Amino acid sequence: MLALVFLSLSLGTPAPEPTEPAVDTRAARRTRFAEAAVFDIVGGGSRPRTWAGRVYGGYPWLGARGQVGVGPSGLAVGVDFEAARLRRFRPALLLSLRWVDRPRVRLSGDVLLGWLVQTGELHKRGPNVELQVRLALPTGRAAPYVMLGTSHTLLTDRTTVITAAGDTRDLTFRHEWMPRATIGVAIAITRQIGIELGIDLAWYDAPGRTPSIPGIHLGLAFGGGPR
Amino acid sequence: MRSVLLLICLAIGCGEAEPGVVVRGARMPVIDMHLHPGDWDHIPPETKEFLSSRFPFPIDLRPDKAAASVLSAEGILGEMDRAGVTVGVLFAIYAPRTVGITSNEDVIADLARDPKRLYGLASLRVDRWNEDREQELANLREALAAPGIIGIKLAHAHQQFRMDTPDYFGIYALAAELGKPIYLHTGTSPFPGTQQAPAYTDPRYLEAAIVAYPGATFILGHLGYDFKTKQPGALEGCIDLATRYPNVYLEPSALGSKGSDPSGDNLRLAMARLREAGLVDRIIYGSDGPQSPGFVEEYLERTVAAMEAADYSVDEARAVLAGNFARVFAVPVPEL
Repeated sequence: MLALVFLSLSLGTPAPEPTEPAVDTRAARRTRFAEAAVFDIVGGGSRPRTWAGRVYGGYPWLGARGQVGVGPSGLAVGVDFEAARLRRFRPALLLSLRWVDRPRVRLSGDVLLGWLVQTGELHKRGPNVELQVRLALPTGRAAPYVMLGTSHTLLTDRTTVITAAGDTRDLTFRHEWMPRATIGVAIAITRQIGIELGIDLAWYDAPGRTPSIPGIHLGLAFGGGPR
Repeated sequence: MRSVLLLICLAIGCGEAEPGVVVRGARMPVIDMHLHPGDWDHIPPETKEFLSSRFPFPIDLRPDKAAASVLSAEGILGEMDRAGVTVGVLFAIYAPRTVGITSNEDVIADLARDPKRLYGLASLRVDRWNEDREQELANLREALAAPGIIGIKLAHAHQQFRMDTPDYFGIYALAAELGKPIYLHTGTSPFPGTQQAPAYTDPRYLEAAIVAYPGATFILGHLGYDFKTKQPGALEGCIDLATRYPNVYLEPSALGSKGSDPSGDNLRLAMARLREAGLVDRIIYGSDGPQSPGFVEEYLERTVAAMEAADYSVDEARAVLAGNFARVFAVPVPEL
């Protein structure tokens, strides 16, 4: 959308032709950090032989992610761990693929296969799958980004009824759905190190429960390999 | 810098509300006769789970912390300040299989935090009644002698004893003897383990006790509301009893909350019906808070809105919100 607006403005207002070296300099400045590790984290995917990681903390979520590029189209595999208030934990395996891979636009899809464990009064556990779409728009050192996700957990209830006639055991399943979104900005300090700040919106156990209280997090990203 | 802090403070609502509430342009004091202090550790696991599920994520992950912030005496006073409530009444409760235990001793200790603004209702265990009724009644008598304890709290549905069983009438006899009003939970309840059958929830089953003890004052809590179906339930039964017996009073707490009456129609209906029946002088305001931060304030606002919708005059609202309570419990009307 921004590109279209820029294009229409450019068409409507004839500008003096820039000299070739100035264009090159400006373009180079804008894309200098396009391969920064922090953009791999917020935008998804990694180039072959590169890797990236992130640790983040905030309210209510904290966690870590590590990914390594293994194939074409920014295909990356990795691990992801998140926890909420040290009561809800979800370790997962990660598969990420870039759908749009341009210096100033990253669009990717992630699949996370994990296991949810929640302790405390509302204890629950079960397999979890989460699909995420990530969009990042790197410009120079900064990249605003948005992540949309849909998380699904299969919960199992085991009920044992003890009577004089004997015990009966019942197994039932429930589906917990949590749509979520994160909007934030990533800053590349170097190509290897960066930070990101995001607002986390989630709707835990939707649509039955009230929408969750928004959260916020600050992350430190790092990476290596040819960038 | 000070101006900036003041602006931030105003923006996020620091400080306390002005005491009292405005009804039809007149500010008046408020007594909330239904507040629950408590200790998270004294609540049964099933009820903890139920209560946790009512908090939004991620507060539900640490409900003990959320509960501690509102269930302590300081937390309740903070919620009262936020709502403009001048005086509050804390309930003891002994329902170990449903909503848990808040002991008389704990309530008496809480009252000491602010004796000018807090009163208490004492209660007793009834789950071993065949064995220890005399001891329980003696304990209740002793609690009723404590400073600030002005009445008795019972909840047949939560304590799992029938309203019409004469074995328990000794409690009403004690109330009549000491001149201490009895608050009774009426209507169903969402808490796990509650006895939902009419003999435990329908106030019409109290009639024998009301007749037998005319010297005792019976306050029918929640107006017999059916919290399971979110319908008025035994409202007409409450009105009938209050119309026929002068020792019956009515308390409209909880039924008009956002969760139990999302549209507010049921609370408006109840307040309108009580006024139509000529029972304004029998209504005693209560919220059933604090439940969650802001509940006490919100319930007061919803009740005032329901009274205004039903054309309560300023004097009628003043009676509902403080005057009737002061008369029944023989305490002064608080000043603003």
